[in-house]
Amino acid sequence: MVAMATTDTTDTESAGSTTAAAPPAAANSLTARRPAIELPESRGYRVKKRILGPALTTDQLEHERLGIPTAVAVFSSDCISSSAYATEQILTVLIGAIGIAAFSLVVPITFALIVVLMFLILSYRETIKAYPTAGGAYMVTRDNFGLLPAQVAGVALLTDYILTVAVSVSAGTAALVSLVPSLGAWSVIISVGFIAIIAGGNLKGVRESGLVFAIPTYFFIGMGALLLTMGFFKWFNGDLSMLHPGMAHGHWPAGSITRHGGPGNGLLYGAALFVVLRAFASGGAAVTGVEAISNGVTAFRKPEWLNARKALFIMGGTLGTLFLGLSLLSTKVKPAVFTSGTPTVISQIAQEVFGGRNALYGAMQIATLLILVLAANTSFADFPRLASFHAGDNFMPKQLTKRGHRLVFSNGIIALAACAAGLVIVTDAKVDRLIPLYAIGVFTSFTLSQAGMTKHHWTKREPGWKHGIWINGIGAVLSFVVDIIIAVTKFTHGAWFVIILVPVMVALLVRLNRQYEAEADELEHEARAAAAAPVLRRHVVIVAVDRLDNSAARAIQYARALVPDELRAVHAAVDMRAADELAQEWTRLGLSRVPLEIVECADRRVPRSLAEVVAQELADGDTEVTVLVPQRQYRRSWHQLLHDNTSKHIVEALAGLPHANVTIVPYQLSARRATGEHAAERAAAAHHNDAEGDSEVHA
Amino acid sequence: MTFLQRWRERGADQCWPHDEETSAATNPVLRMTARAVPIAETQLRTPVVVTGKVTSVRVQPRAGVPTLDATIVDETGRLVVTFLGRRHIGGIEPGRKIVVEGVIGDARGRAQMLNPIYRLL
Repeated sequence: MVAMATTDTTDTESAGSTTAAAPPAAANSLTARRPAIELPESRGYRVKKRILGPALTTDQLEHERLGIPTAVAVFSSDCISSSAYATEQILTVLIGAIGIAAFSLVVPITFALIVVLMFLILSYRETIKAYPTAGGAYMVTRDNFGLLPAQVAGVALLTDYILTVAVSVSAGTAALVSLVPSLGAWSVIISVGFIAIIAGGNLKGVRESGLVFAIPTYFFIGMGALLLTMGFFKWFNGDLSMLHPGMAHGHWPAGSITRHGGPGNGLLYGAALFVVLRAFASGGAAVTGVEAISNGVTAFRKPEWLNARKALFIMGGTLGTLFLGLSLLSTKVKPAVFTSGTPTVISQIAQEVFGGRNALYGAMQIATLLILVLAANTSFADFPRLASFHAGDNFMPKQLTKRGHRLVFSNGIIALAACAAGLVIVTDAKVDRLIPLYAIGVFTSFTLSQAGMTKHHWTKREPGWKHGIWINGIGAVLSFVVDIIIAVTKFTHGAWFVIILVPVMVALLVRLNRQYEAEADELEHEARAAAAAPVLRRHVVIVAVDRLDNSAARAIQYARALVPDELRAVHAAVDMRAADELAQEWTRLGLSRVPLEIVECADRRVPRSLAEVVAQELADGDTEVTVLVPQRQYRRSWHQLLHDNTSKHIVEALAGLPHANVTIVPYQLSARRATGEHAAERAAAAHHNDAEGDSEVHA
Repeated sequence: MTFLQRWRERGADQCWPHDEETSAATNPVLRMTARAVPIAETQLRTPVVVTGKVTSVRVQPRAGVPTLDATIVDETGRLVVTFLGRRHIGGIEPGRKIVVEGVIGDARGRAQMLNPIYRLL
């Protein structure tokens, strides 16, 4: 008895033996533990648990409140990391068109982008204040313009989250390949590997814990600051020189991008303006990620919106400084842009500034790699959450609202990883092929959310609304203009794909929404009246019996527990001889007085015959029919393949009949311990004979 | 009944017209079937002859009251034929055609013929 009370139920052996113990004494028969019924976990779940760790309970869903330094680390990696490739993307476009003169245009274009960044940050200051709880373009747009524009903003953002992952991971791989050139052949595999690792980490539910984020982010910021300081120091001392001296005389390094067409530094001939705009559009990638803070205001310490605003400024300042500094240094170092993507521009600058491929250079590359991987990681937090908003509004499959094993939106994470990996494979992990797709989505959502904010100010007229209208109005117009510039200048380079994709996706989501709404309408229509409808007069229970075995016996036992008005077993006679034998056995065993009906089944369609029997019972319109289908539960999935799935077909055949209900009565094969029936048998045996009961349990 | 119909319903070995079968005067089964009416046209509490196919047979286990229920179906309807005191009757099984003669009663809203005279066809 003592052993029984202290036995741990999770231990299967000891739990089994408790059932064999002597019947409990009357005194504490109420407190004594009942014979334990095991609930074995499926193999799939055990594997999942081994990989992901134990499931998190829902009450563990809490948000860590972040201080400003940690918050900057958590939210700004996406934004700040773009400085690692933005200058290179501007140069890629410019050098291809105007050769060495490119370096005189980098800084003005960088300035233009920093102006855009400034306005976006000013605009987002307003958003953070107005929507401190659930910010983000989707919510702002939905609140001010309704569901349909919100879908546009949301889909545009979702596409960009996918691209953020693809671009960041590809750029991170490029940083790695710059450091270790021999890895160049493996860049696609390395990129996909990074995506898999990040997705795995997120499925495991990597908390947004500060340290994990703080180290790489501040490492990169620190290395960037060191690079800029040393670079400018050397520059003023006259120690900084061109990396490829031959470039001044038209000798470009092998494998680098050179100017198409003839010589000359003609800045403003031909399609020069178009080229400048396209370079600007490519650099627009730098500005992406600004929205991250407005999505996560709730994670800040109180007062949330004030802290978020400060973090926004720190982030913008850091990005602006790094971006501008790198662009300035590039005018002096004049790095080549290689068609293979490596060595990257930033690595060439680092090589020159740090005086060769030394430890500092290596540290810079590692820092770049880490922050880029981290930037990809922020998408893994944002994409699933945004997708869950869509799904919550019935615009995306409901599965996306489900939190998985580790309290994260597992389906969203898997979807994002799959899309990003596909994109990386298609583009061969080349950043310059991904960039044309990038930034359109994000600027579309900027435009919509800033316009939404303008409308918000106009309708709410809170204090300072005139000021707000100006800021958000300019922000909206500016974002729109940038969006148009990106769409037009990069249309033929791949932007067309996004421009087509977004409306198609929105149409798809709207269609999905119609379906969900129609279903909900039908389900909810007069649900109250349906619940109050009178119960039908008669209840007939039919047990579908194939042969007389344990699974059928189990179903009959259950059927008797239902206490119906009429109960009978039905056998569809495919083989008349088998039916005869069944009938004889049935008569002999006298199974609890349950009659057996043998139904003709000349065409061997068992489900159809059963459906006919049920339809016969339903004919009076005042009968509820329950069909019990014994179903064998196989312990291994391949065991299932050894049998036909008649029970499933029976369920399908009866699905359409009103007031016909199908209940599966499971019978666990080769898992005797699992069924209550056998537990009861065991217990009974134990009562009679301890030793015998014991041996049966362990058998 | 045309040859083709007989062939369809009884199978090849039974469809040839034999003398004793064809003559209603000498064959009691044929005398019975000749009087059969469609199930839909039967009336309660009057002696009637019905012919049709057994579509299902209900077997009562030993513990219960010995009863055998068979459902007979023709083109017009269905009828439950109940043999009290029997658990099993050779030949009365799903798919067989039989002819029964008896009185139809109302058993809780369903037509039921108790202990009829029957012949297997």
